[in-house]
Amino acid sequence: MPFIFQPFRLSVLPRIGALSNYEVQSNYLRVSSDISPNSNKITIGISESAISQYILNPTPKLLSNISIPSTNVVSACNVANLNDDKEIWCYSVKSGKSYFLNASIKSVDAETVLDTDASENSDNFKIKMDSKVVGIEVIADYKTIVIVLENGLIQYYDFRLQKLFSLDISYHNVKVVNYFNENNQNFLFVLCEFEKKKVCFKLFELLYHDGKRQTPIQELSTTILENFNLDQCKLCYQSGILYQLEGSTMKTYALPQCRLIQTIHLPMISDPNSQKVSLAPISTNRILLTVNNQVYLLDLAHSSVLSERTLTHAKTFQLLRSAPIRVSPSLGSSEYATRTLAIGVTTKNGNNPTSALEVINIDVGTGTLKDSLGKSFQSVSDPKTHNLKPLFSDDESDAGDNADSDEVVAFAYEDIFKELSKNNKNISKFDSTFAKRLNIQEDYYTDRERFICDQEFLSKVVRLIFESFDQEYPKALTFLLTHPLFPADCTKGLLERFKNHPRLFKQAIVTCPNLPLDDLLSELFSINNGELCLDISLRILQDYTTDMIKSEIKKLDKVNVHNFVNFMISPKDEELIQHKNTNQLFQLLSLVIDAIGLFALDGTLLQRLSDYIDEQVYLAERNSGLRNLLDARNKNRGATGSLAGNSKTKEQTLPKYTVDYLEL
Amino acid sequence: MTQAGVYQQYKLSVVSGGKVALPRAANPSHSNKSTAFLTPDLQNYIVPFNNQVKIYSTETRQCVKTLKFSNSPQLLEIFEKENAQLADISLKLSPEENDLTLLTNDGRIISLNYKGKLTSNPTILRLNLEDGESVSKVFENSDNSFKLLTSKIGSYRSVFTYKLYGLQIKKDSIETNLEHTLNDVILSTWSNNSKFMACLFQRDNQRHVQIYSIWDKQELKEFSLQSISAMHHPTASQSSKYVSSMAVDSSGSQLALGFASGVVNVLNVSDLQSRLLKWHIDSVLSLGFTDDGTYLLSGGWEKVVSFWQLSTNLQQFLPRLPGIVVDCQSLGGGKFYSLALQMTQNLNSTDYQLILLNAADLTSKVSVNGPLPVFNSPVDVGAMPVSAVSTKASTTVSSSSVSKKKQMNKLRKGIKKDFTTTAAVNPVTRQIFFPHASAVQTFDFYKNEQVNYQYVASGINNTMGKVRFELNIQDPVVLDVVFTKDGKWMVTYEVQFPPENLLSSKDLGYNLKFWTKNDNENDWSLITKVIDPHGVNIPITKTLPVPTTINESRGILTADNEGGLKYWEYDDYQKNWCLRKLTLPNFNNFSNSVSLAWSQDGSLIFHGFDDKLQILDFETFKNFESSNSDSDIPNEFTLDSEIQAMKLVDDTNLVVATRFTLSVLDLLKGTISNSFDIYPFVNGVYKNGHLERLISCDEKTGRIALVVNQRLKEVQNEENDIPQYRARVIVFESSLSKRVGSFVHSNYISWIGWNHDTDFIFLDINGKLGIVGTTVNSEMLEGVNSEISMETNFSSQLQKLSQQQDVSAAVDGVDNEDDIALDSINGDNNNKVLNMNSFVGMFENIQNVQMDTFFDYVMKVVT
Repeated sequence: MPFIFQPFRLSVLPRIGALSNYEVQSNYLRVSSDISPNSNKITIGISESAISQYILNPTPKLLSNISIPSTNVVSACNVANLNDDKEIWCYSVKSGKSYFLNASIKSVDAETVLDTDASENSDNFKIKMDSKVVGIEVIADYKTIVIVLENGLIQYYDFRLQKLFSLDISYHNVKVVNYFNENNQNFLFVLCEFEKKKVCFKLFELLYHDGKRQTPIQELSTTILENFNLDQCKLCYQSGILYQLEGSTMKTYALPQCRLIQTIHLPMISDPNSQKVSLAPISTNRILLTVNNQVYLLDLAHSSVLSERTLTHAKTFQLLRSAPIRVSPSLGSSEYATRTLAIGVTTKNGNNPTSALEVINIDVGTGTLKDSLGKSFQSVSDPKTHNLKPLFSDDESDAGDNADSDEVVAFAYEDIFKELSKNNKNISKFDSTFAKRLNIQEDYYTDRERFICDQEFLSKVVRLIFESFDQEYPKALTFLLTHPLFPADCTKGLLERFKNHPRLFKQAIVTCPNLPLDDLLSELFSINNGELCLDISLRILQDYTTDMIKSEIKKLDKVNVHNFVNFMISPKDEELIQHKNTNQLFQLLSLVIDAIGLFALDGTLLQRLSDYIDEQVYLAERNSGLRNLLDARNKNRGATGSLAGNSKTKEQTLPKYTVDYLEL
Repeated sequence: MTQAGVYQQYKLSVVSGGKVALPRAANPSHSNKSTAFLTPDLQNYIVPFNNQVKIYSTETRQCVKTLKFSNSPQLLEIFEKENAQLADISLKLSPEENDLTLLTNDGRIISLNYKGKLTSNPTILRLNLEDGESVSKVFENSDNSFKLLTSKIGSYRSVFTYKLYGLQIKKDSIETNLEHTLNDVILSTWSNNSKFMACLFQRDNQRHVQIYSIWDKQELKEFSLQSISAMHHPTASQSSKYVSSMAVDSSGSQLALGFASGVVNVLNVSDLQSRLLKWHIDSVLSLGFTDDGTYLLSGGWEKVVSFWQLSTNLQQFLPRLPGIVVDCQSLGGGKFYSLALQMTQNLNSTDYQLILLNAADLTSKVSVNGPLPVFNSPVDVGAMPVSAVSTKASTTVSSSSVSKKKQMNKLRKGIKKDFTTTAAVNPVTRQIFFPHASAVQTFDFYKNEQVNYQYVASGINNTMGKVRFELNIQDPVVLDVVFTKDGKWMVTYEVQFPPENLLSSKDLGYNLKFWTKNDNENDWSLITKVIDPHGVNIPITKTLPVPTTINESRGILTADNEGGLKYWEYDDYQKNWCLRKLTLPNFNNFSNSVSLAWSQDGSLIFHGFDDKLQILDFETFKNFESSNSDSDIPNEFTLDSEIQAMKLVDDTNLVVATRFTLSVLDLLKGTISNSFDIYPFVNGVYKNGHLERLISCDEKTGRIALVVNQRLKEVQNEENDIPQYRARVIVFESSLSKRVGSFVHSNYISWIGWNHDTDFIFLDINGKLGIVGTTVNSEMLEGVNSEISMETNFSSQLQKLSQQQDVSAAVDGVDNEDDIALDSINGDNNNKVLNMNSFVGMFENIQNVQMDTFFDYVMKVVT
């Protein structure tokens, strides 16, 4: 089941103004992309402070650290595991107006919990760059560091920062770089703004090897996107889908062509200007969204909120990076296969805001309809009233032998309800308005009234009746009780309310749909009228499955059950019971006994029950014997069972033999 | 959903299907029922259908030419609108070569070219016929003179008045002159060479036989039937006196009479010497002499054709035909035998099959039939053949006229008729599968041919014919055919009937069978059979294949009429189908209004039972329970009336049809919207659950097609008219918010299904198949996008792109392959070479691109 867990703190950030400023903190905190759903280490480049690696389990703490000068701003950071227990940390900093790329190869030592200055036992390299480094990706398999510069160069370096290769993508102003791996192939896309609101999308394949030779890079697709405001929007990428959030509008683009496929409005972002929003991919079709201190797990394929959580201890929460899970929406995956984590930064209230890195665990669910059922974030309240529409427009509905095809009626439910509300003091006026405006001819529901189908309206009317009338109810209520769409939210406590109105009570039991099972059962066990008892039991058996009945009976107290068993086997209403079919009562009795267990009954009751059942069994045996006698004489019982269509009963019997003469 | 920019429009056209027409079968006085014939060069076999004429090559057994009536406005007018029936076909009647002449029962003579296209307008002439008189046969002589035989119902229903005219066709007019009239004809036949006609007729309460020479215009012989059967025992049964078929040989010297008791009497016309051929044990339904008169063919209920060598009385058989033999003729100068078979196991419509046999080795040359649906109730006043005993599948000697009248009345009276049928489309081969009694017919919609006919339930019908009281034995009936989504498994569901007049006669048996097939095989082979899958005497009311996301789509879900559900899936280890999950029949009441739907990701099952819609979690197979209970939608909905059908159109919308409304339930919001009033068209018309057959969903686009059948009021002026119907097909967008199209078809539609592509296929009660399909109107887009839009999977798209690029790189990179890596170190890319692929990317998103952007784009590629 999708769920957002309570976040836990990794570390408090140094008190640097920029790190607590929501607008820039994501630029100042660069999390290495090497995290996976079950990774235990997170490396973060904290500008003006250090490149720090934290361990999550068993206790979150700092593992290793590379300090950087307090003037340096980290623009990208990536860490990769090499063979022979070594790790390469690669990061770029901006120092004043110049840009530097750093690489540091160090051994991973599980024993040393903390070495504050990692630079001692490591090889460090540093080169100056022409332009800001927007993205770093270390591809360990090819021993290559891929760097994307803001001026549109894609450069490859080896681990000693020797340049291997360079490509000019012919666009400057590269804003977004995203590396991803698909089927063990390396891909990279960039978004470059080249004109106002015009963005170029380019998709590359990196280090392509077809068995014979290696191509360093090849361009797979290029798309120009218009009206794409790169500065104002938040982006995130997730298995072939690029999400763009601008204001409260989420646009979905499908790679490799970057086609716009969907536009959704997110209602939780009510005021995009003042609310602090961030987003991160989490699994197929699912993203994490934060709005101030609210975290939402959204399913964008189904437009639903799978889970949400409020972080009460912070004013804002900004997501920095997440470890998306790649699962196809299928079943059977174990519970932990849907767990992943995301890292973000919380900022506290106050004059002197403090920020902290927090890790949040997330169960992403299965991504199926099951998780999203009924959780749509799109506006539920449809202002339109619900009327039946005719299947054909007027000019088509000619001819055809549908004698009873009466006009489709559309009601102005609003007006009718207003008029009813005015007449809520006078029963007869209420009734006449109700019947007239809704065109009701009988006191009960017929096919003609199928046009009254707005459950919202029905629900409002029922509530109005209950509020306005107490001692005596209008006839309209009787009609409503016969309506198959009687609102389910009004049925709770309905029987209790009708205790003093036997007619309505009976009406409700016989025709009113959606009566809650516990209400019915409690009535069944407390009522003394045999006829009503039978009605209720019929009703229960018809509406509810045996499983539901059993589980509900288990919740009832012992006294009630005793009452019912007593009622069943006591002879006082036997006459009545014999008149009707007692099958249902027996079935209920067996359900009751199944549910509570035979030995929950006390000795005397059990004895009486046993006697009673013996007696019934004897009767049944005798009847069965008698029936067999009758059967032998009358074989053609009008029993059920007919095949589709040709259910002509055949009276003719097989003659023993016939005589046909052959001419000779 | 993602079809933006592609302009789609639906169209309705009737293109396929149809039934083999035996024009003279409706008239009980004709012994020669079939009009199919061979061209003089013996190359082509011409077969009339109710909607077309098909021409088969006798060499290749393929259909070489189809003359569809609907392709010509005039023919459409005659055969569809005015409901004329084809009566006979002739090749000689028109002077032009390659012209085919069709005669209709109401006296129209239509000539059309059968070798060319059907574009040339056919010439239509009209005969002057009396009221009620209908054309039966045109006789041709070698000197190109013609005679026309007409018949008219006589003084009572089973006798006819025959008139024989001389027929002359001059350019635009027809001349007829009456040559011979015979009243009260009971049965008639004519010789293969059209020289002689023999009629059994009634005169003064006596039956007489008259043999008439057509060209000599004279009676050859007339004698009373009594005279040849004088030795009949006075207490002989009715059926031994009832002549059920006749044949006369080409020289007019031998006459064969077949009796309902199974005896064939061969008469020497000159001296009335008779001899009896006894083998049949039920009515002889068809007789035919070979051209030289040395052999007699006879057929009947046994599904066996018997060849009698008349000189020796020796017999040879051709057994195990698919239907009872209602017509057998020798064609093509004795080189071929043509058989007409009736599949009497279908009681609700008349299904014929024509078979052309090679006379030399009796191997089948051509077999012809249309789709074989079994409708819910009888659709036509079909002629059931005569048998010695009366059963549902036959008429007796005494009841022949009564039962027909009854059926007619029944058809007329019922205002609301459920003629629906069930069929399944294989998702891969797109063939349509019709359950047909205890068999399943595979019909290829696009080739318009039957592909296979396989018995899937064991009964008597599969192996032999049923005669006499055996006709009362009910064979198992296949009620449903379902395919898994991968098209590799067929699931059939059948009902078995215990023998009659037993205490257990009402205890029906149900079987669920799982079949698979290799590509190179014709027949499906049975893998698993489950007897009484839902318990003794509990029928399955609905079967649904799993979505592709579960167990590689090898699974099905079945529901019974008490609310029980069972999930079956194929187990690789056991190599068998196994029951995996079940809910017990929980409801305490019964309902046949059961419908199922399954979410595409497989997580939820929607179970409509009576007026309740329950949502089940597939994993637990229990009612869905949400994790956090607040503000959730309930797992159960109660609707306004019994749920008839449900279709899950996309991730969010469930279309629900009840007896009152067609509406859409938004599963994410839990609200019902866009309801349509279908009560006037549905209530009381269809049996519970049968509306589902008239609703289909295009699972790719989520579009819904709904069929509404209406009985026409004004057409039925005469008492004898069979009611006329009209159907409308309405196509909705997935959320029912918009009607995409509405179409009228001139007959009752009994089934509609999605062809797993872009179209809906429907079947009407005349066996015609039509299509409601889209025509994609985007020629330019098609070329570029076709490959890409087919692939929905992102990673496979990437793969493809990557390979494409590689190929193009390889082409231009041959020369400088060796030092490519070094060259490009300096930041400029030598790699960039203009080729045919350079600009392809631009067109992929061209729709909304502004001019200057496009220019920029081009510049970027060029520079």
